[in-house]
Amino acid sequence: MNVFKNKLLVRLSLVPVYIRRVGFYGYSFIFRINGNNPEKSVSTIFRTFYSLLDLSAQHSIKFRPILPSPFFIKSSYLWHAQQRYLLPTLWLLIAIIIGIAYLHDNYNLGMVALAGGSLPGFLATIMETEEADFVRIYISTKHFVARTLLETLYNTSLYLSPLVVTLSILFPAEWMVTLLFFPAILLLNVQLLWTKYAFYPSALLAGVIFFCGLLFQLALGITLYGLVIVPVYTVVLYLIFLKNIRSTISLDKTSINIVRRDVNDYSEFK
Amino acid sequence: MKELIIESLNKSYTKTTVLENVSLHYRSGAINGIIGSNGAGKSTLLNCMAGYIPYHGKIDRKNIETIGLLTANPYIFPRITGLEFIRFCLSAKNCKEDKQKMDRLNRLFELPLHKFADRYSTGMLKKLHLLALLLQQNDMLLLDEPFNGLDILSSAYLSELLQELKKQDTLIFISSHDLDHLVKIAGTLTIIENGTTYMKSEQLSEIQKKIEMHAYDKVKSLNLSL
Repeated sequence: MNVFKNKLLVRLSLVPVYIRRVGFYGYSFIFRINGNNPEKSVSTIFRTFYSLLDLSAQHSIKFRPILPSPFFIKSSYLWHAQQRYLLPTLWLLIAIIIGIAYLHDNYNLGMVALAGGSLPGFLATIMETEEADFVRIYISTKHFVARTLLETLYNTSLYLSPLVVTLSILFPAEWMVTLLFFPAILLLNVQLLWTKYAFYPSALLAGVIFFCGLLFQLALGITLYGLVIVPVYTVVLYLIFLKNIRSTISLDKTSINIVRRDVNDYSEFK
Repeated sequence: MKELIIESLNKSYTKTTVLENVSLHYRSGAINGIIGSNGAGKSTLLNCMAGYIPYHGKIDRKNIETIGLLTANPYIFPRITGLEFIRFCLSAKNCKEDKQKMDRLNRLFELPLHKFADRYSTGMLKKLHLLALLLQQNDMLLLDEPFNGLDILSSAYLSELLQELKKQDTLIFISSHDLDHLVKIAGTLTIIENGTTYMKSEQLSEIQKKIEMHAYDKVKSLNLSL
């Protein structure tokens, strides 16, 4: 294991040398074709760079491959939509940084990568705004609550499990802290989901409430009050979420003051 | 038998009254057309029927548990494929994915389901929403301008499909500006005019004649020399 670790470290340390070498040969080539004139060479590089940018802007070249999403439930559209490139990219980056943390024997780096990488990804995914038409597609409030909760728990677990397990194996002394991170993120994601729909359609209000709630829970979490406040906060949030989503999906919004009238008494077309 | 009974329906947006004291009664077994001028309140009536917006009055939905609404301008999430959208719709309605039925229906609409739906044209987007609705087996279908943006063949296919759904006891409502098309497929016609008047009739040909006469008289009275 140590031999492999050393070999990998040597290879990684050579990366800047390779970059420098490629850069040097590239610049030498441009220098030569510009008659050994340094000013001309620099302007050629910048001209090429800007013309490429301009070309891209003019023709709006977009690289949009349809990545398969092995992580997520097929119907969980939020996880497939706008962040379908962000989540896999973040996942790969976290995995790479965990590898680097292992090579440098730095557990904190791995944990920071896991928390700092996954949280923005989940925030961007769950807090995506959609029109009410999407929410109303659900057959009932009960189905909406069950489905969104299942998708959040399932997708978060699938996304985080390999990373958490890897970190626990690589740093066995810290396994308890690493595993505690897992339910904490699950709870946070559920709170995020319920906060979003509790204040739906206002994403701004939901965002503010989520961060305030998070700070509030963190502040009290240090003390013993946290043991009480976290479940109470979650239950209150759930009740507000339920009320708001019921009014969005519910079929019966009949208001007051019904004036009875014969059903067959239709007015005539003028 | 599915029934929709509207009693004394009133709907206003701030100071503008869109629907006033509307009372109507619909039964399954017929396609119900809704027609009216721009801004008359067709979409509002459909949304009230679905219960998606608050209103005054009473709407009784007998034996109706699931409702499918096609909005006039269907919205789609960016970076979601047609197939993913259909899967989401089916899961949201608690329906199982019938791949054979989906393939058969898509042979009519010819949608590239594995491509991102935000690249679809307006007509294709409408077809995608229609495909999702037709796979859901809703008790009541509310279609706001379903023929807008569809090509001739797709419109004809949709008309035939709706006739099939009608036989399966689905309560169908279609709002449209295309009176000729509505007269061909609808069993009843509801007319919303000036936001406040309405009518429901089984004699569609008479209504069509009345509207044509009205248009003829109006143009003649203006004495336009084009």
